[in-house]
Amino acid sequence: MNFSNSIRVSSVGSSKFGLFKEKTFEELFLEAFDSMTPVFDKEKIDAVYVGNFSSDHFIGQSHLSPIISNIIGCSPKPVTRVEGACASSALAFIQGLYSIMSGMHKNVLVCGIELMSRCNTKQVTDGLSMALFPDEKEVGLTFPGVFGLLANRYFYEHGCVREDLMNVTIKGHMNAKLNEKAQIRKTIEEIMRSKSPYNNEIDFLSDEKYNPTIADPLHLYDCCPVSDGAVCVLLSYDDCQEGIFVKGFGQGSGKGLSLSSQISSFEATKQASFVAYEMANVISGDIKVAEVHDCFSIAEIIHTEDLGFFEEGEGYKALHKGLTRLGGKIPVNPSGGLKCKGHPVGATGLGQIYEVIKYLYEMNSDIGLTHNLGGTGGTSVVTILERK
Amino acid sequence: MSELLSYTKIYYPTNRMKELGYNSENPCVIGLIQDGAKRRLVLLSLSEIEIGMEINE
Repeated sequence: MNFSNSIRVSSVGSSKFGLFKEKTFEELFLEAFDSMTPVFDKEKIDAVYVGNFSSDHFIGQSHLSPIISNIIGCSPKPVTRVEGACASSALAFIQGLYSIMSGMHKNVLVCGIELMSRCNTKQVTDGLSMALFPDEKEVGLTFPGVFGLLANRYFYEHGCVREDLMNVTIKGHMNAKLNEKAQIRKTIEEIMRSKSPYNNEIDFLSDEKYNPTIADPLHLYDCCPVSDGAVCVLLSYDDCQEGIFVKGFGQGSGKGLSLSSQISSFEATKQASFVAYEMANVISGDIKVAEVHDCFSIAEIIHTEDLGFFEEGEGYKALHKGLTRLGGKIPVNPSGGLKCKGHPVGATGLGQIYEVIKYLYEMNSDIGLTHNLGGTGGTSVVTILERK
Repeated sequence: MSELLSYTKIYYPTNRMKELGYNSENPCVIGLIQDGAKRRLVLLSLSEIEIGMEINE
């Protein structure tokens, strides 16, 4: 199969991301599924893949496949849950591609869903900690702790300082303000004005009162929120020559802080992007927009380097120059990213695909990339989409 | 002797850290050290900390 040009994303739909304690699992899923456009006959669905990290922990339900099957009404067709921590739905997307590439199926529905808001902060922290490497968990690290370690090392190696991280936060809030699906739709300036008087956003973000340290050097506004959300996409192999096509994809795995060759970089992402660029026959410079896994502010900077958009140690400088903002050389996280659009873990990867597709149409652009990271770099998935 | 490669101070400790007496006033410090050929994560009790310093466990 000539992979490039052959499988398209023929329909997409997404719920809003946010905290929806009043919504049931079914209601959240249907918000995404029922909003899919263009509308299609659900009888054409041959198989379903569901990305989900930990419904077992967050809502006490592990066997999601038959539940999704009943909601859609597609029984007895195959439905499979895929888990890869925060990269669950990007992995589900890849499984959908494989099933079409194998010749088994022509139309595959891929979903991502996570309902986290029913748990309190401690329960969410405990749930997320299940995605850490054993030695990270053993010493008592949390996700902010791991990325705090990465950030301090990055600072040491490249001369980046905390103010540079604030630029990620400020950009994320500005972008999310424009995104109706985003969880946090206030700019830092708007938040700042509702508090005490400050000279500027940097002054506000430097105030420990409103932006307390979580895991040094990361503060509250460096961290993504807890979120609920669901996203659905339909992958199709047909005669259509227009629309959004999957140009390439790649997956990599990483070893964790103690075994990785580099501390302030993710080898899984380098591997995933290398494979995806090769398959798509493009280079990083061909990418017009990217949604990357900014679970913490430092992560966005590191990912822009691992994906090849900027040289090692140059990501924070590019951000400072405005190269990654809307209208810049390569807009990164125009949706607001995980940081502000939200991070319903098992739905995030597909949410990025939804956002890149939206951007390609709205901005009349052609090639976009998504990058979804699982755990502390154990899994990484890169997808390249092309609009024709 | 080991070299400190990086560290973080956890100001919102997990329950386990709280049991060990850590809190936002007394943050738990976790270091990543290079111990010969091995790299390890360790709990540290240091008032002054700097990447590159030698750690004597």
